[in-house]
Amino acid sequence: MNRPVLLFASLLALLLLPGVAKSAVAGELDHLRLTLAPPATATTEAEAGDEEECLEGHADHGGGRGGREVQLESEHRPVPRRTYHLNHYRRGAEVNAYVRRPDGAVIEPELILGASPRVSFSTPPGDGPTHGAHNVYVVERGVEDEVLQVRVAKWITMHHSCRWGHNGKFDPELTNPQSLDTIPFEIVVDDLWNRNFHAAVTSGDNLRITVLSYGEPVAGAEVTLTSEQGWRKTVTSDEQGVAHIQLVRDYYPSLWQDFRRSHRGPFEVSARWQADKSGQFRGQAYSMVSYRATHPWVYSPPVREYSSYGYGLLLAAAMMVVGGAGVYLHRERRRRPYRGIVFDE
Amino acid sequence: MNSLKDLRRVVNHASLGRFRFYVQLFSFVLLIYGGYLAINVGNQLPTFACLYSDLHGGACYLLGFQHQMATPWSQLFGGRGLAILIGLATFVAFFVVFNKAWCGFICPLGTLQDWLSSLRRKLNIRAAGYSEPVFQRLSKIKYVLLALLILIPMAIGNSFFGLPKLGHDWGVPFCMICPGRTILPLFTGDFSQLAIDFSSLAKLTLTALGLAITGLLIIGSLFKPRFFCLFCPMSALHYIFSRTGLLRLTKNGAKCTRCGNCFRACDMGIRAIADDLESKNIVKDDCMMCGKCIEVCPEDGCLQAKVLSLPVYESTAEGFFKRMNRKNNG
Ligand code: SF4
Ligand code: SF4
Ligand code: SF4
Repeated sequence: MNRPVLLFASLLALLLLPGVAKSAVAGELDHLRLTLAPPATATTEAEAGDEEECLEGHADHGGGRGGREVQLESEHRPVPRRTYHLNHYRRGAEVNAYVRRPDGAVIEPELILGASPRVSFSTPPGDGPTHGAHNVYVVERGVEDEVLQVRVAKWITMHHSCRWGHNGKFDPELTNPQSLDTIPFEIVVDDLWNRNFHAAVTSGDNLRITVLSYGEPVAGAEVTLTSEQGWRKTVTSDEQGVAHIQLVRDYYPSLWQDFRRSHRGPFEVSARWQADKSGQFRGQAYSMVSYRATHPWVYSPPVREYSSYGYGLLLAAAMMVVGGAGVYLHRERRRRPYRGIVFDE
Repeated sequence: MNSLKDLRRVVNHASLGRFRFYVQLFSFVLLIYGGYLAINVGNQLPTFACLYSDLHGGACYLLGFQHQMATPWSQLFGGRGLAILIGLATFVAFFVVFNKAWCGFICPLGTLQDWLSSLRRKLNIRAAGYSEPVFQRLSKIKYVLLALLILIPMAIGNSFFGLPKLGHDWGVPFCMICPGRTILPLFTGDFSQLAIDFSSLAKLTLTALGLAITGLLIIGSLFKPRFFCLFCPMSALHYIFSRTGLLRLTKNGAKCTRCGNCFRACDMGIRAIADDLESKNIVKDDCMMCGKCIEVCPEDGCLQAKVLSLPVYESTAEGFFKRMNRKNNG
């Protein structure tokens, strides 16, 4: 091929590539995500295409929980109002938000769309109906290329303070994860928190993930776990809608002095599924439904990584032996009869 | 009127020790397993209702108190300062009711030490005691621990003399060395506190110290009754508010013959209970208000447990002989 032809071909490719990329994006939408901080560039769908490609697999991606600086929520610092940001939404799509409170009540949070899309709702402090896990959902629905695109972003707000007590620790309604059967596509992960409402996932845990559609298990859904450093694993849900993924160790400080037992790393569970359903949505016909959902959470290093029972018990036992021997010898010494100074040839 | 006198006689002849055993057992079950029945006696309790024990039926004040002491001074005059005051007031409100009897009748760690003492008696191991100068010196340690459990958290939230702040791993330093944390969760099948934490120098130091103290407590209690209580900072904190207690232990020095029975019976080894003829309020800083001294005092009305000024249990010659007879006849 001569040089002018090569140049022409390159120019053509450069001109066409964005269009190709865009159409690929239109067919395969990115996940909808809720984050604590506004995404680095909170955008509506028109601008989102470029951002998606940048964020996908980015080292600082942080499982999709925020922009470059991943912010995490602490269940030890309750605040009276919660706000979560949406990475984007599609203009023309229907967007709804729901919050399932710990007492089972479903409320509609304030949903602000526009340049900085977000949801916001109040979490009054104290032990009461709002003490515990709130499931926050944003559900987006719209038809595109005859496909009904359903995207769900889920977030769990653990509204808790140890000062309020742990009265609900034996109430399965509060300690088990809950779902809503009005949500078209939902991820439920077991054992995210312990019965004291503290985040409980540690690396190495085998996560049990259930995929539901309107409360019914979904078989054959693609479930992906993306860890803090961008490691991914994808499995398929079984007949009961259940998938298991083991969370790898993903926290490697280079020096032991830099190790933090309190390290909280974000990870994301996402799921996708397509169903051959046809119908109409807001006057637009579709012949297929594409579901996508995300559910972020945090993990810590496991206790066994930095603690030792062996040394602990050895130390306690050694103190008992030394203490016991000390008292025994002290008593023996005092019991020995006084011998005085005797003549010894 | 006569019936009241009769009731008093019956009470004064009773074995307080047996009553104490059952109250201790009940309190132990309540504070260790109460959470399972959604019981929460209260937060800021003046006793080791250890929060590390997952089913606890109440909350020990010291954990929250240490957290609060890490408050930066700049925030002391806001809501957090108020929260500290409310916490302290709640602690005092609980404490005032039973005074130091929280130690003698309620504290699970105290109860455990008493059970180890029973084991010692069954094993025929002679009880150990300290000489008076050693006792006096050791009894200061609890105040040092109390000061440290305030100062160390303070140095986390604030800088002393321009020095860098301490890391958060020094948080709740007393809990980290408290044998309540390592031992009490064992009763709910939780062995997780028996490990040494290597994640930082602070955690390593504190958890290793905690396990060393646990070993010492177990072996120490097999020789010396209430071995740990002499060093307990909760007891030091109690003593600050002891004068406000509704329950009191009083002594009428004029009736005391200095026979020394009370001192010999005292698990804490408080010599002043026999020697002090001046003080009316005889609750010393190490006293746990167990009432053993009242039980073994043969002088009428010499030692009394009172609620405000109303005697509820007092020493009588008749009661003394009744109890001794019961003891000698098994
Ligand atoms: S560790 Fe000790 S001081 Fe801390 S909460 Fe438990 S009993 Fe109280
Ligand atoms: S002094 Fe003994 S009984 Fe009292 S709180 Fe401390 S450990 Fe418990
Ligand atoms: S002085 Fe009396 S009440 Fe106090 S600890 Fe000793 S025996 Fe018990």
